[in-house]
Amino acid sequence: MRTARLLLGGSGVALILLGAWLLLFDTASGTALQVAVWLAGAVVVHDLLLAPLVQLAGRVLGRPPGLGVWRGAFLVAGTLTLVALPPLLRPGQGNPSLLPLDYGRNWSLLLVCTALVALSLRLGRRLKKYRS
Amino acid sequence: MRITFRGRLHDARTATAVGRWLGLALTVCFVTGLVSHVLQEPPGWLQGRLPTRPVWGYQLTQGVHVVSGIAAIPLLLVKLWCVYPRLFVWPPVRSVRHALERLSIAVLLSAALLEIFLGLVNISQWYVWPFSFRRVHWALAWVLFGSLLLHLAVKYPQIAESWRRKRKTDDSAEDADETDRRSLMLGVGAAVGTVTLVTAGQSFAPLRPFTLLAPRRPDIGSQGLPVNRTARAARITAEQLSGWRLEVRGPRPYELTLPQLRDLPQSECRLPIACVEGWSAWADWSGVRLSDLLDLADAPPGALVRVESLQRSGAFRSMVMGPNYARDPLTLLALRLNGQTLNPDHGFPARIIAPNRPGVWQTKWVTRIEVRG
Repeated sequence: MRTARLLLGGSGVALILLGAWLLLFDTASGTALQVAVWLAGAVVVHDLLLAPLVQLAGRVLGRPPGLGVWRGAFLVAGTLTLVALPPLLRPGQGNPSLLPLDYGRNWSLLLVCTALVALSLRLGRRLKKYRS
Repeated sequence: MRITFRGRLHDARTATAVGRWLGLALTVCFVTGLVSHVLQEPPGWLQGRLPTRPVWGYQLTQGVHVVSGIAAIPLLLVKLWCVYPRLFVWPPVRSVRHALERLSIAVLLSAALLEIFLGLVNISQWYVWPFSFRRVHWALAWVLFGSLLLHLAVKYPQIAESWRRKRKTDDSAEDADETDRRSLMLGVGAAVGTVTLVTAGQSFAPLRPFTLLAPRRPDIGSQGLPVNRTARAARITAEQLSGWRLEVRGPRPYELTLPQLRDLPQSECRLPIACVEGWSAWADWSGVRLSDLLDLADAPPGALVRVESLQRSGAFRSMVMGPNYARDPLTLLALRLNGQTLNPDHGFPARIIAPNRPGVWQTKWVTRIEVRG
């Protein structure tokens, strides 16, 4: 299906060029350069900060029994933390209906729940193993 | 120094398995984002043709937009974890074709990371970037979706291979990895499920009790409805409100004071406010039908209507609506919200409420209605 592949790739390139055109000509002056810097920044933060930290965590933890459960718990906790960061870190403002919840408490609560669920899954599996 | 990656899931099969879900999330996000853009900035030829029903249409599409964007976070990060070893390929560029491929990946990955970051931080109204969110989010959406299509074209053989493999069930050599891969996919699924559970309640009422990390809870706000821009933030002063009159310009222009507006026949409707930030809430509105006000000005039935706010600055201080909205029996110049007189934060003395429109076009602090064409 070489034609399908070419069409797909061709439309992809066309849409990228459209987006680039919008960035260059449909924004305030200087925006394109600022966005280029932020794009590079995003890659740097991920590739040189976030990903190495995760790799390090992986090496430190090794392959314990029940790796799957703990890895899952880490994914859940990590995602919740990333999503909780903007409400947690945003400086206060004068609209009480914006960010009205106690995010610090809710985030901690969710992390504790995640750990508890992971522990129960591990215990459950261990009990099954001893019974069989 | 050699960097070795011992994890066996840094392979093409896992990348494809996660990629499937990531591609789905990003496509749903892109399509709902397109809908949102068209409803916010309709091209001229669509002005009178935008759908007014279902009244919860934009509530649904924008809710799904934010949910799919947030769901993409764990999917993207796990996908990037899978392919991370490829960053360290040596030599970094083998040929022109290889360089182009690496460049296209750089565009895809930077656009995905930044676009999702912008969306996530924007819904908390924390504008840490120097550029216009709306313009850049729109432009990057095309770059991202285009990069996704290009990526699918480049990886076509591997994707086709993985679909073929799914049908063959006698791959015993891969068993150990398959169990681990399935466990990883379950973990990713748990992350997507949990983060959706604790944020989607800002858009979808049944999940409201679980909304622990969303920037809004739709039942928290003055008069039972969240406020997006407060009167103070919009710099609405007491002087502007004290001598307020509604000015209607058209073939037969007129002006009305608030008591005169209240004397006109009132209508009631139940419509949602659906914000671009994803949250939405239903409310009971009461006021004068916009259609009645237009009839008083002898407006032709197919005329466009322009509504202006007391708010002096901002992209949304002036709103245009086609006759499909303007003449809809549900579209009101609302004076009361949930049984009380509109308060200043919600647009006192009068605001527009229309079916199936983004919250930014439900103009607050209305001062002038103009019939055009």
